[in-house]
Amino acid sequence: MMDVEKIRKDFPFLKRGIIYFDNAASSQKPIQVIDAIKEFYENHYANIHRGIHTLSEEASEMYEESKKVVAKFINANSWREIVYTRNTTESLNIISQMVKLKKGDKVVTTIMEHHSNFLPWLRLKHQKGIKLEIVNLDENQELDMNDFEKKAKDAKVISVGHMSNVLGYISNIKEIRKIADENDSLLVVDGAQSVPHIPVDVKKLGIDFLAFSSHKMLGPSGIGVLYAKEEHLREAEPFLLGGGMISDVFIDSFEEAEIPWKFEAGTPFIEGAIGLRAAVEYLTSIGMDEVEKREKELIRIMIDGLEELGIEYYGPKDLKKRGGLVSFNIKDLNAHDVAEFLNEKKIAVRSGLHCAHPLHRALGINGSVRASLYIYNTKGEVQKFLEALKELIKLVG
Amino acid sequence: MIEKILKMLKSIKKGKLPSANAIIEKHNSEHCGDWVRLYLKIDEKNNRIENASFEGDGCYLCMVSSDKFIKMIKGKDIKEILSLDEDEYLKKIGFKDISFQRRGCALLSLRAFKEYFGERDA
Ligand SMILES: Cc1ncc(COP(=O)(O)O)c(C=O)c1O
Repeated sequence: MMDVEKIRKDFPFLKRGIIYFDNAASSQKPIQVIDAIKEFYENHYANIHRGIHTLSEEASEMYEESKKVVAKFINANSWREIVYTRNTTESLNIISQMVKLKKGDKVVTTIMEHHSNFLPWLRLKHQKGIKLEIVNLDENQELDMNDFEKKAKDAKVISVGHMSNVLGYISNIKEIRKIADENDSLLVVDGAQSVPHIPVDVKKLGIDFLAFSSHKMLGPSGIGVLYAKEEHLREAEPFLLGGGMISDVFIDSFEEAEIPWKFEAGTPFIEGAIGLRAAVEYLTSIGMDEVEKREKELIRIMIDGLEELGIEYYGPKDLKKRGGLVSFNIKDLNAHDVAEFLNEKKIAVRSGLHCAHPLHRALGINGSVRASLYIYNTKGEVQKFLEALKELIKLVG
Repeated sequence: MIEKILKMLKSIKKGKLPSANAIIEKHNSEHCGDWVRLYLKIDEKNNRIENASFEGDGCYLCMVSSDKFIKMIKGKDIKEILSLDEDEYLKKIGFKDISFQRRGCALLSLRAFKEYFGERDA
């Protein structure tokens, strides 16, 4: 069982006395991550792949080691399948170019996507004339799998969020993989909200491309992951050219470096990789099954509480299909004003459209308040949050 | 604080203005979802705001400031409103101490007005 009090000792920010429920936007960092970066700066810092000297050797090895740890975390075949980017957004943009679409090719995505998994495809529709199909929600505010099945016919690419950052809904990737198989489609998964919170196994789920961000999973901001099956990486062209991504250069040509290096031109965010490794190791030491279980437990209390207060919330009612976040609205109040009230109570939540305008439009709302959980949150915090909402509802009358 | 906010919100009047001869709409670029639509009845002869109203949705800063803006511009020359400096305006409507991040909320209506009449602030 997860020992929350022990975990909380690892998070210096808790000294501020803030109840942090904005984890879907970005998570806080444990001392192990902070220390790993500090230790690297103090003892091992140098550029990678460019020196014979000891420090460069150490830094290069540590950078590669970080990829090994990340690869194992998502059960990739090899560390060579791990490309470091800046964040999920950059990974998805790159993926949209890697899959090499031409006029008339079909891409299927969904109405619940974060803009990062929508705009790169929308651009291809306008630039190249690809067909873009958007899967709708059913009456339970889950993905409509019949609609999915229909729209995915002959799709080249299916690109779907693993967990909605608004609905909290967890997509059934196994079922979507089956649909992809029927149509011989590539499966791209936006794992920004899933990888930090639930076990994600790229092999079991049959994922071709996966994108996620370090900053949402206890690691530093500024580094993200692009996972792709080795065969896809070998086929794809590098998108940035320069140092680090070549094996040889002549005055009229160049030879690409091995994967994943051919996708990492220029000096990468080395200390970011060191921090991400420490974050993944931290999560692994708890166990992702435990993380998921813990968040489910808390979200159940939170959602039960919201229901008791008669507060409208979004996404499936079936908690088995949800992760550790919930978006809601309180009667006539604007979402930002609810967030302001909670901030006065030292409770940090997010309000607004959460980079998912099409979804909010489909839900017929102009914003929502989102509370999103992580490993350091407690039942007591959830209770305080619910009490605050109760007070607010009373004040509004 | 919340009591104060709720009280301010209760006093706000929103609505269309059938006689309007200018309608200005602006969304907050912070993609927070906040928006306003200003209805203006302009006396074309002397460029004066005869009457005004607003509709919109947003945080209290945005809605309360818009309500105050509407009250403030009635009967005023367009030029006079255009010459309002943002800090001076925030002081006037009682929001001079808001945080940097939230300035855009309280300035949305003034900025909408200025943009429409061709004077963009930096
Ligand atoms: C589902 C989803 N996709 C993509 C992103 C974008 O992540 P990043 O800002 O790290 O690129 C987010 C983060 O807000 C998200 O929740």
